[in-house]
This record gives sequence, structure tokens and C-alpha cells, in this order.
Amino acid sequence: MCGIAGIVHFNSETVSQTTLERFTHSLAHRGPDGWGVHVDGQVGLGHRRLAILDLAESGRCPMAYGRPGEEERYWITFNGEVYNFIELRRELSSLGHVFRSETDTEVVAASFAEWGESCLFRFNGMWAFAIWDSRSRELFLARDRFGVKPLYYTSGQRFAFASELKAFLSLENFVPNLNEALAEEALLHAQSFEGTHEETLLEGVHKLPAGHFMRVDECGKIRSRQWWNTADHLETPPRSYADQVEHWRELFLSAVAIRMRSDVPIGTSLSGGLDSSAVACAITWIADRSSVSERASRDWRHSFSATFPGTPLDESNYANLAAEAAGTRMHLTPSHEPPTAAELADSIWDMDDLYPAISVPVLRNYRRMRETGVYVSLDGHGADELLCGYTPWLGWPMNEVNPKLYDHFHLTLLPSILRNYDRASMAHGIESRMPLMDWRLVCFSFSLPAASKVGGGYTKRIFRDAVADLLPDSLRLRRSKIGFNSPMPEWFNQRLNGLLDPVIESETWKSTTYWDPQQSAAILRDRADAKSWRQEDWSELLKMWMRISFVIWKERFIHRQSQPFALPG
Amino acid sequence: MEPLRILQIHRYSDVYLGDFRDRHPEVELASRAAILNLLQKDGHEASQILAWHLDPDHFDARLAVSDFAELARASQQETGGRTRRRKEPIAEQIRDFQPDVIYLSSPVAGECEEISRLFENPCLMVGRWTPSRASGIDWGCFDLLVSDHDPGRSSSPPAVAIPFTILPPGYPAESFQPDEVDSSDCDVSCFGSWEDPSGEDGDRSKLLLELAKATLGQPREFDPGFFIQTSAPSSLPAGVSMYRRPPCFGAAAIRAMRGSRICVGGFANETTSTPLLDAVAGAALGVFQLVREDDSISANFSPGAEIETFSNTSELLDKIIHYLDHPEALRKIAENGRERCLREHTMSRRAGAFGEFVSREVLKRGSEKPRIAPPRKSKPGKRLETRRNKKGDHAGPAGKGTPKHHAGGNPGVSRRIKRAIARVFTRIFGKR
Repeated sequence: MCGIAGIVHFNSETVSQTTLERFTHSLAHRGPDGWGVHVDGQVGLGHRRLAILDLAESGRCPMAYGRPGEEERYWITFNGEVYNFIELRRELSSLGHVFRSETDTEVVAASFAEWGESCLFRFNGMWAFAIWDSRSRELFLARDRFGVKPLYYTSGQRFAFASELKAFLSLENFVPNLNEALAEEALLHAQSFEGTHEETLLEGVHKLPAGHFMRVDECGKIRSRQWWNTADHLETPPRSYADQVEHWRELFLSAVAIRMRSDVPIGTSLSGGLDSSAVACAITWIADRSSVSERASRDWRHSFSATFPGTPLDESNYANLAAEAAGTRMHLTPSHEPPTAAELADSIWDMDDLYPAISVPVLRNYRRMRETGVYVSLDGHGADELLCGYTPWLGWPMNEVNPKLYDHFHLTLLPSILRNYDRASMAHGIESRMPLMDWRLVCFSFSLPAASKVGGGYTKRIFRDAVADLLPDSLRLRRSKIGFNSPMPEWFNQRLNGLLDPVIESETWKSTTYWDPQQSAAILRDRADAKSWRQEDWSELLKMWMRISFVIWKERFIHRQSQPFALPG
Repeated sequence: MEPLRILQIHRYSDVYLGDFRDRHPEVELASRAAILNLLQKDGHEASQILAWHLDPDHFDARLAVSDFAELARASQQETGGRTRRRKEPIAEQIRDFQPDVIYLSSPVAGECEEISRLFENPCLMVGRWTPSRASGIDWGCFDLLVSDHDPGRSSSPPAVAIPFTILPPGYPAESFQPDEVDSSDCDVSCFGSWEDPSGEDGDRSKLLLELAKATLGQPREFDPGFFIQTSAPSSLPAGVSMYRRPPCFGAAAIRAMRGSRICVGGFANETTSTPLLDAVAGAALGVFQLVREDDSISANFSPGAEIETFSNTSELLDKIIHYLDHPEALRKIAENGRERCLREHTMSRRAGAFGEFVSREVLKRGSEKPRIAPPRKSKPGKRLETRRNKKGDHAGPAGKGTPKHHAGGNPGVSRRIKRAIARVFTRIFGKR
């Protein structure tokens, strides 16, 4: 898991090494373990490495690959993990491929060399990568099925791509402008914006959609195509519910097992809810039964949780219960006290885009993980969108559950969550892996009838039944859904620890046309003075936070102010 | 003195009868008496079956069930006739029983007219009025109307000037002992049918969905069970579907209700019941109930002592949590509620009110032409079966020629009516 960047000049100009390095190093937080660049005339690839598999120098990127006789034909810069790389490597070896490293990156390159773009269907994992074919002089870029890993690009006189929006601020001759037409949309529909728009808040910068690949040649020809459509890969599930449960369980355990492959310690981010608890306990179950797959990490007994003692959001008792059930050492990061104004402002930079939540607790959790020496986190994302886990969705008619879940999973909700957790984890060089996003489990889940997901008194019914012997019923049958959020009412009542006033008094706030700045400022001041924000004001708080974070984002990304406000602390 | 003959014709829903058959396959061959006994024990719509509770000293009351093929078959076998149409058994029973009063306790459109047309001079027709606009029933066909609903509170009262009375609530509590309980893993139950939440009867549906969503936000968890009927399960909201249990009826519903710790009620289907009637049924069964606030509830129970009420979802949730955490208080309220029912809300009181109303109206009509049920004309050459009266004696050949069945007036029936009137007069006003 890393940061990737690259440039293709369309005017025969050679890529400047300096430019490429600066562009690449803007992603240093994603890859603290090394870096590399490769220039081939008009094309340059950059890479910041987070070493998870094969920590040796042979795993360095950009990586060259070629069949015997055409060594270094392909150059790959890769972000992500292909968990079934061991199986693919065996198959490729039998076809004559020779490997110099123990990385999945090399397997991806070899797969492309062997199967071309159809190699994507063989990968089980998450990725955003670019492969330069020095013979055909064409750059091939691809994203994984569901967009777990990001990829942004801009094109014009040149084509440039990177893992995050902020990288483009370091791109020579790139002038950041706000995509005005999109800003209002993003403010109104922050959750659904990510998956439904290719444009970004930076004018001229687009995202490659999930499940798409793109080909770029030196002449400026750019073609992109969707390679993955989940609806094309559904299957006929077993008729009996019991058999469905059994098959779901097999897929889940397999998904966890292959995500344990790591040459560095792994851990879990525990909330105490069903999803993360089941992942943690599944790791233990697999390890205890010697069912671990090849290259599985032997150092896995680590759990991390951000807690909010004294607030309605606190689930620490459940998180501790889960750690105890999984037999892991628990690392708690209390996050109930408001972060400093600087930490709040920096979180906007870290998150790279607008997100309707204060992400500081998530960031702190991953930072704690890094400090503890754990660089991989197996997380429980995806289950709610697959199996109808959210309370408001209980109002959907049963015959609309599956279609609506499909939309939320692919377009209107999960993409923003995936973006959020990519930024939060990579801000501290942590690779977040998501067993519940395993494509086999996703396809099977979308093949199931709604009654297998909601029924018998529970949401995520089949998940709970599938893990009946893995975790205690107090966790498995827990219905209460709190969700991982920050104690916003409390923090807003404390004026965001000094962030509130500088923001609402800034010129950017006062000159905005997207909301009434005076009215909003008055509400924020008055309610903070009265300390009157409550849990029931959640929607209003999210709206206000979006406005505050938009102002900070604009200052950092458009006005390029690294410290736009005079903040206390 | 012969008592007043009352034939109650009740219609159970097809859904219920189907469920009843599944639970009692023996009805396929059972006798009429045995089937009626099973129905009575099953307790479905027990508040509506007045025939079983009218005072036998003053009334000879029978129950006929419409569109119940097995009962029709059993009736036919006992009378020796043959069933050609499902309506035939009712007509046969009317002809056999010679009722003075026919009470349609679950009328459907055209039923009153059809029964009236069967005979040249039909007897007194009593109907149970419900405010459901969709019934299409011409209430003007009836001579008398009884109801559980107050027409003054309805947006569609009967548009006819017909003697009308509201029956007091009642339930045969003594028939169901508190110890007949099946275990259930359900903390909070709700029974009924799913209605469109945006429609007139959508309150329960909205509440069920709110309750389902609330369970995901409660730190104190509990298990709801929604015993909900619907013809379109795929269009149920996911939250309701999540907690849905197979709908159950009769004794199975009673067991399920009593097996849950709290029953949430107060949303009766107005075509079959009222919130008060449902509350009485639940209380009589010893169930702890949380019902929506209603004047009729507080007039018949002591809220907080014999029943609990709520006015909104938040209050409902608070009380659910409170009473789940205080089982002794819950038990006491349920016990008090049952005792109130055993004292006051009895079927004898309810049926007695019906009987008095009908008797009074019969008295008023004493000078009017009596209503009789003439025999069906038999086909030439067909040997007529004899029929037996209720004492088992031969009463002569049925049908044509029997002095009691002359069209245009029947001194025999008239004498019977007059004797009945006299009996009622005596009962009401005492001996002269």
C-alpha cells in the first residue's frame, strides 16, 4: 500500500526528474519506507513505498518486469495488495514467468504481461496501479472493482496521475482552481458525491472510476473503459438458508485468511460492533486452527480502538469484549476530549476532500497503530452496505432492499467511506484491508434474497449466523448501532477548541455564496455560547462541519495556505 | 315458554379458516358440534360470538358460520340434505331452526338482502355495524344494528334511522386459564394486519417501523415480534420484516400473546374490532398491554393499574424498557387487568346487553306482521327427508304441507313469537 504518481508529456518533452520527485514526495505519508522514480522520455512514474510484502530492496517501485528476453519492458507503480498473488505466481511460473522478488507487485506486472487487461479479473484485492509498456509506448492504469484504492488524473498538454488530490498542488505548472459547479453539489451531497462524480473539487482533476481502466499513449490518446460490473457476476445461491450461511461463512473466512498475508505485524481496528469484532475473532480462529495461509503474518494479536468515554458514542466495553474474545492486546485511544484547533485543521488536509464527519479519532487510531509498529489493519468496512446494516434503511420495502443496497455499495455511500478510510489510514502509513470487500463475498451477497440479510430479528442476518461459533453472542447478536463518529455536539459546544471563530471570521467564510455566512456564523456562535448543541442536532452539526471544513480545504488547496488561521495551540 | 330463537351467522376470514384447518385437520370429518366446539376453544374473534353466551333461559341461540365448507358438510350430513352451493347450509339452518332473529355479526355486501330474499317473510335482521367505508353494505336492509363503534365518532356513520346500540366490551376470560402459556422468545409483541402507513389505518404500521428502528438505537436491547398478516410480504419495510413472525390465529395467537412479556396494542382493524375490544381481550387473557391512549380505554380500565397506555413512540419505548426492567410491576398490572375483566368485561354482560336490546325491539314490533321462514318447495316425486326438532322427536316431514310453514301467515310461529314477547315482557317488567 503506497502512493503512486506519474506524468506523460504529449509534446515530446522529457519528464523532469525533479518535477517527478516533487510530485511523488507529496505522497510521502502514504509510503514512509522508501521511494523511487523512473523516467522513460516523455513518461515518468513515481512511487512512495509502504513495505508490507517483501521488505527487501527487490520490492522497490517503480518495478521493472519482463519475460525472459524482454526484461524491463514493463514498469509498474502500484498501490494496494493483490492477496491471491501466491496462487497467481504459481500459475505464472508454470507459464514460464520468472520472478525476482517476493512481492505481489511483480505478480501484477507479470499478470499484465501474460493476460493483458483481462488480468484484472484474476486479482483478489485492492489496487490502483499504472503499468508503462515501453514497447507499445502506452500507459495502462487500473482501479480495483469497488474503488478501495484511489486514482486521480488530469490531462491537457500532459497527463498526470496521483493517489491523492493534494499531490497535484506539487505538480509543476498546476494551478489549483475550485470546481465551482461541483462545490455546491459536494456540500449538499457529501456522502454520495464521491461515487457519482468523476470530477473533483480541483478543476481539471478527475478520478478514474472504480472498476475502470484507462490507456494513455504518448500522443495524447486517452481511452477508458469499465472492466467490472458486479451485476454481471452474480450467482445462483443455494436454496436453503442454512446452505447460504455455510457458503457465506466459507467465503468470509477465506477473505480474512488471505488478508492475513503480510511480512509485517497486522492488527484490527475494533469498534465493538459486529463487523470489526467478527474480523478480529476470525483471525484468531484461523490462526488457532493452523488454517493460516502461506505468508500469513505471525504477529497478529493487536487491536486498536478510539474510545469516547462519557459520551453516547462510547463503545469501549464492547471493544474490550471483542479484544478479549479474539485474544488480542487492546490499545485504546481515548478521543473524547476535543482535539486542538491545529489538529482539526490538519485533519482536513489529511482527508484530502470533504467528508461529513470529524475524522480526528480515526486518524489518531491509525497513528497509534503506526507508533505501536503495526502497519496493517484488517477492518470491517462494507458489511453495512452489503447486508443492510443502517437503521434508516429499515424503512425500505423488502423488494427494494437489494437494489438500494447495490446503489449504496457502488455509488452513493460506500465510495465516500472507502475514500475516507484510505486517507485516514495512509495519512499514517497504515494499510487498511477489508475482508468484507472481497469480490467473491460481495458477488455472493448481492446474489442473496433480501430475507437472508434482514430477518429473524436482525440486520446483517446471514453474517451473524455465519459467525455463530466465532464470537460471543453479546457481540454477535448486538443490535444497537452507534457508528464510528466524533462527539460533535460536545466539541462544537467548546468552539472546536479555538478553530470556530477564526474560520467564521475569515474572508473565505464571509465571501462564500454557498450558504448564508452571517446566519450560519450567528448560529455557530450563539449555540456554542449557550452550549446548546445536542445529539439530536446531528444533521445540523454535519452541515456546519461541512461548511467549516470547506473553508479550511479551500484555504489549503486553492489558496495554498499551509497555516491559514491563527490558531491556539 | 319458548325462548327467543336467535341464529347468529358469523363469517371468519379465509385466512383464519385456512390456518384453522391446518391446525385442526380433523375438521374434515368431524361433526358439526365438534367443529363448533373447536372454534369456541380456539377463541378467534371470541368477543363477537354472542350466541354462545346468551342466557339459555331466555334465548335459544345458535351459531352458523358462512363459507366454512367443512362445517357445511357436517351440517348437511346431520340434516340429511345435500350441499349444492356453499350458501345452502345457511338457508338450510335457517329453515331448520326457524329463528326469530338472525344476527349477522360479520356482514358482507348483499348478505342481508340475500338472506331476506330466501324467504317470503324473513325474521328480524340484526347486523353488526362497523365504520369501514369499503364494506359496501346497505345498512338499511337491517331492522336493528349493534356495534362496538360509536357512530358519533365515525366519519361514516350509518345513514339510516335504525335502532342502534353500542355493546359493552367483553371476552370469555374464564375460558382461558393463565397457565396455558407457550414459551416465546419475544419481549414485545404486536398483532394484526399490515396497512399502508400513509392510509387511514396506517398508525400501527408507522409505529411498528419506528419501534423496529428504535431497537437499533437502544442501549437496553429487547426482542420484538410482529405477528403481522400481509398479502404482500415483499413490500413490507425491512424493519418490520426483520421482526416479523408468522401470523397466527386463535389459540396459537393467544399462546403467542401470553408468551410475550408486553403486547403493544390499540390499533384494531375497524372492520373486526376496536382498540377497547382488543384491550379487553388482551387483559382478559392476563397479558400485560401497552395500548395507545384512548378515552374508551381509560373509561374501562385504570391506566397504570390495570393497563398501560402511551401517546407517542418515545413514551412507548420508555415504558417498554421500564416494564421489562420491572417484571413484578408488569405482572401486577396484567393480573389487575384480568380481574377487572372477570368482574365487569364479561361475555355474559356483553351478550346480555345484546339480548335485552333485541328483546326490547321485538316487543315493540309485537303488533307487526311476524316474520317466518317458509319451507323450500320440493321437486315432484322426490321423497322428502324427515327432520328432527331439537328434542330429537320427529316433527313431521319437512317442507310442503307442514302446517307451520304456510306462506302469508303462520299462527304457529306467531304464537311462538307472542310467547317469546310475553316472556321478555315478564323478564323486563316483572310478572303482572
